[in-house]
Amino acid sequence: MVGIYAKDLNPREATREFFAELFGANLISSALLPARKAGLNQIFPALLSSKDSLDETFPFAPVMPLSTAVQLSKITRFADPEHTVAVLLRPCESRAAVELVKLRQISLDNVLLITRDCPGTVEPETFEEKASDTLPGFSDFTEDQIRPVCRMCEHPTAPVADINIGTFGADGGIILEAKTDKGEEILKHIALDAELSDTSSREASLKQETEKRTAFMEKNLAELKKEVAGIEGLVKFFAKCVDCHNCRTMCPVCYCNECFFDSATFHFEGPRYEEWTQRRGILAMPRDEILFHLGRMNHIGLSCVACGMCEQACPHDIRVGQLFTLISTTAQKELDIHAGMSIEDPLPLATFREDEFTEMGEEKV
Amino acid sequence: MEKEFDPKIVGFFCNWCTAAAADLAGTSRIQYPANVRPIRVMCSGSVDASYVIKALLEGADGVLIGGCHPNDCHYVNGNYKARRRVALLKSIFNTLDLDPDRVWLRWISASEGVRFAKVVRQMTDEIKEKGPNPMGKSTQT
Repeated sequence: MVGIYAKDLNPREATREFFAELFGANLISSALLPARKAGLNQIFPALLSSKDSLDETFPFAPVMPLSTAVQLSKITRFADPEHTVAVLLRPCESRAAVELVKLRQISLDNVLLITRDCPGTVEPETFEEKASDTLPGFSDFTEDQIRPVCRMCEHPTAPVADINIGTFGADGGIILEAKTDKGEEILKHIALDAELSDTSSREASLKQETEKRTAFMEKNLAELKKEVAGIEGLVKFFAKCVDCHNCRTMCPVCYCNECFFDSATFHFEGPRYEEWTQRRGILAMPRDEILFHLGRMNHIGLSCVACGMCEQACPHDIRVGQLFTLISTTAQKELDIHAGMSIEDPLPLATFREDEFTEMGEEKV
Repeated sequence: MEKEFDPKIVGFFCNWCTAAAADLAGTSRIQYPANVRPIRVMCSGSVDASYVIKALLEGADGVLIGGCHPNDCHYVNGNYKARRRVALLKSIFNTLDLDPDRVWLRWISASEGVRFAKVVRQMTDEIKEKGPNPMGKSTQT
């Protein structure tokens, strides 16, 4: 079912109204939504127990301090299936959540997964600078203030959701679309202004947006690829890396409790450093940051949803999210494994197909 | 006279096949270049990409992963998983213009001592052709 909802309201108010209706009809017992943090000019996900606090929520705030998918893994651990929590995710968060479902880090049993179209986000600092008494919206920012990973994102709308809140192609209000049986069931209780039988203008709008982003991606990544080419390029690209691992901490799909790169594998004794120094003449410290990034690309490259949280977390503004977008989109295309597209998909690195890469290993001698 | 480039190849050999093939090549007195530094692992599927990358960054000129032929894995399907991981590693190396052809995955069963020697010889020749690995020469890694 696809329909127009609250056509006299702007998307923010319409979405608040929609959640109020979900609470009012007792369809959900709590909701996870982006909300203003302690009256400050920052937006973080918050859990709401009723519609009373909906005025504090900003469903379309163009800022993402962290991926809500990670918070979803916390609140669905041993969750009570009787208490439905509605979560509002943007497309990259939904795709990260799908990866975490595949990795058994999120259970969707008691979750009503609501996604919303996303035109892009800015860095939290940029958002804060623009905010005054009122919080800024997407249209308050210029194109070059939008995070490059967002401008390259080919998913303006989420592939996986129970219900999607559409803004592309909407002329007032929001477009509610049920994408699962659970979503259909919920929408039966919601008063839509009109069913949308012809979705062609929405599809055209999404297509136009996607094409614009693809064009930017191709241009940007081609330049980046040239820049990082070879080990010299890579070393230069990561020259400012302080090996803090913030990128990994904020990565929604890096879920391991103890990362291999923090493990005792890398605890060496003093004499080893002496030995390496004697052999090389000069030993760059800290060790292994190139290994860390290349290793992480191999560990999560097939699960990367290109949300760019790594880049936003980097204290030295290394464009690590763009680099991960480059390697992950390429690898996902080449291996025909696409992150975040379906919770039915098998895990990329724990599974295989007998009929793939059959030429590998076989070379006759 | 300049010394000929003598490549270092780190080998990750499955305990159940390639490591035994290396043994067989030895006991059969089959000659092959001594460029490979073998590391016995329990399964090619246990070779994480980080170990391969670490070897290359630390000065290995090539990495040879030896596993059981498809459907022969002692642990049912570790070799298939290794294959996908190597495919991913090669894709990433390709994108970053790091040489993917310095990483070889070969199926070599316990009875294939001759094949083992041939693979090592072929890899040594091809890596010699390529010259030293630039990844290992960088002082900043």
